[in-house]
Amino acid sequence: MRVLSLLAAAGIAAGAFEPFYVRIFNLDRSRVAAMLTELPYKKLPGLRPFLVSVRAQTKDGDVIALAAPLHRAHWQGGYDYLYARALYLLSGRQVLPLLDPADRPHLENLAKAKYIAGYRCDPQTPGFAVIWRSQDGELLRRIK
Amino acid sequence: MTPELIALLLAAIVGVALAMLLDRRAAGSLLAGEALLVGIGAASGALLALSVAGVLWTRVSLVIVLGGISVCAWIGVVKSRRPEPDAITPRHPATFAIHALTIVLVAGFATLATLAPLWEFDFIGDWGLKARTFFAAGGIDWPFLEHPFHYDVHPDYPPLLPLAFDVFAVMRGAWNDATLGLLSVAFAAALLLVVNRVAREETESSITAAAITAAMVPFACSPWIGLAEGPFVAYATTALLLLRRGSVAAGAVMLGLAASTKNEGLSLIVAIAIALVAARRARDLIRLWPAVVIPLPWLILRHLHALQTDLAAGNPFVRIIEHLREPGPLLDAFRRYGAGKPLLWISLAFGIVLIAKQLVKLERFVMVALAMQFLFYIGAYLATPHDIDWHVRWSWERLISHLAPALTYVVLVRLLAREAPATVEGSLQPD
Repeated sequence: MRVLSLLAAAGIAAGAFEPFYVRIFNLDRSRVAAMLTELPYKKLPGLRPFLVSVRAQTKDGDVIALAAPLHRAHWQGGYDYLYARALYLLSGRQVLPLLDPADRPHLENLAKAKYIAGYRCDPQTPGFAVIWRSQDGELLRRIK
Repeated sequence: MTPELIALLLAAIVGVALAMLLDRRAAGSLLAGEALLVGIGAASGALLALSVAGVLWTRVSLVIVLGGISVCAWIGVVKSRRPEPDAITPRHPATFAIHALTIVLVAGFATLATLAPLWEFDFIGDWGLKARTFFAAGGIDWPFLEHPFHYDVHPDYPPLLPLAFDVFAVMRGAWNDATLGLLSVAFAAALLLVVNRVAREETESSITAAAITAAMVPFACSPWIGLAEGPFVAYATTALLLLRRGSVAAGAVMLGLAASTKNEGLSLIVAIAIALVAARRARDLIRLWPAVVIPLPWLILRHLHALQTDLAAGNPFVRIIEHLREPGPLLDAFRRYGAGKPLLWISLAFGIVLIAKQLVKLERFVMVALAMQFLFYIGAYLATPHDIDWHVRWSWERLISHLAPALTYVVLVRLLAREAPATVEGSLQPD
């Protein structure tokens, strides 16, 4: 009985063991760090640096409408992926979607916005002017 | 990482005094683990209180509140008489080698946890998002939580973890999501400290206790870094272990903190109440009051602010009946998405078979509590307004990770202890 008990205990310890907590010491940690930094944003290439740049050019309390050539369609169209991540990286700002869950334009949000952040699109909008542009998108500011 | 370490030190100083008041038997690593857990809870509670009082979060306001709690608690400690700690067996030299393995594993976890800005989607879309938004607002951002656009951030979820992240941010004076993983490490270390001392007292063997602690590392070091799983496991498992050994006041506080970390903690209160009755400890029910009082302010606030709760949306009873009538999709989902680590579950099942009589007779409290909590989780799936396959896929393994640590602990202790550590039927009891 004692031997069986020890066997069961050893099986539990071996079965629970997490080898990654040892392997991590031998990994190229700077490479893993770079991979993990991009991991939550990888489905939309360039999204993280784009949102970080938008954050750098806006301040807390600013209202930012989010434009992108994506749609919602119950989380499958990419827009919700973008919006959820923008909320985090632009926290402190008020981030407004330009599409409702049925993919209809939310134009009243445009009326509230001081900025439009366009990910990989050129949302030319009357009353707004481009103040910054990169290969991943552009930031427009209300001019009147 | 210095501001975050100072924040943890402050929490521990407050926590030591509170733990000494709550658990008069606690000593050694048990006291250290309880101190970290209670201290982090107190620091989060301090931010909640400041926010409700309309005081802006600053380093000064946080330190003043924590200092006040600390002074009051230390006065209580000085005035109270603590019994001499229970005698424990001296440490065997081999213990240090096993502890060295534990430390290496925890160091590996700490390396991973602090390698990069936290990357889990539920951190970015829920726990971390709320913390960062609150930090930017200098308090709980009610308009953000109430806004219908933010339904997906689960505005009703208990705030202990976001507020704990904010304790770090307030102490730093800035948001730095590359260091927030340290909090996951603190919770893991706290649970392991608790496990080690409790196991040492129960098995009367420092080597066995060290081995059990090492085996528990993967449970304490939750792979979902930055999510509430790790903190919840730490609070819930500590609550079960303390209540199991009769430390009701401290156990009830840990249970209250578990319920302030995840909504599952609320069902755990009910599960534990049922387990106490099953273990013929109904007299302890009333002493669970801190478990109800601690999460109560948030429950009131979320009701006052009408924060949306997804499981309660619509008519959950109709959904339960519908899902019970057609259980196929739920069973298919359980089959499709396993609970991970087959060797662990096979070995656990084998161990349970070996000591089934002991578990029924001596571990009734923990076994009934875990069984009830498991049933509540099944109930949540039956009541879900979401697609069942989707819901099981993204939560099943995490929910099972809530129950596995306490189950593994009692099985290991019963398998490895040379003599049964309990003398009272149902669960361990103090003198």
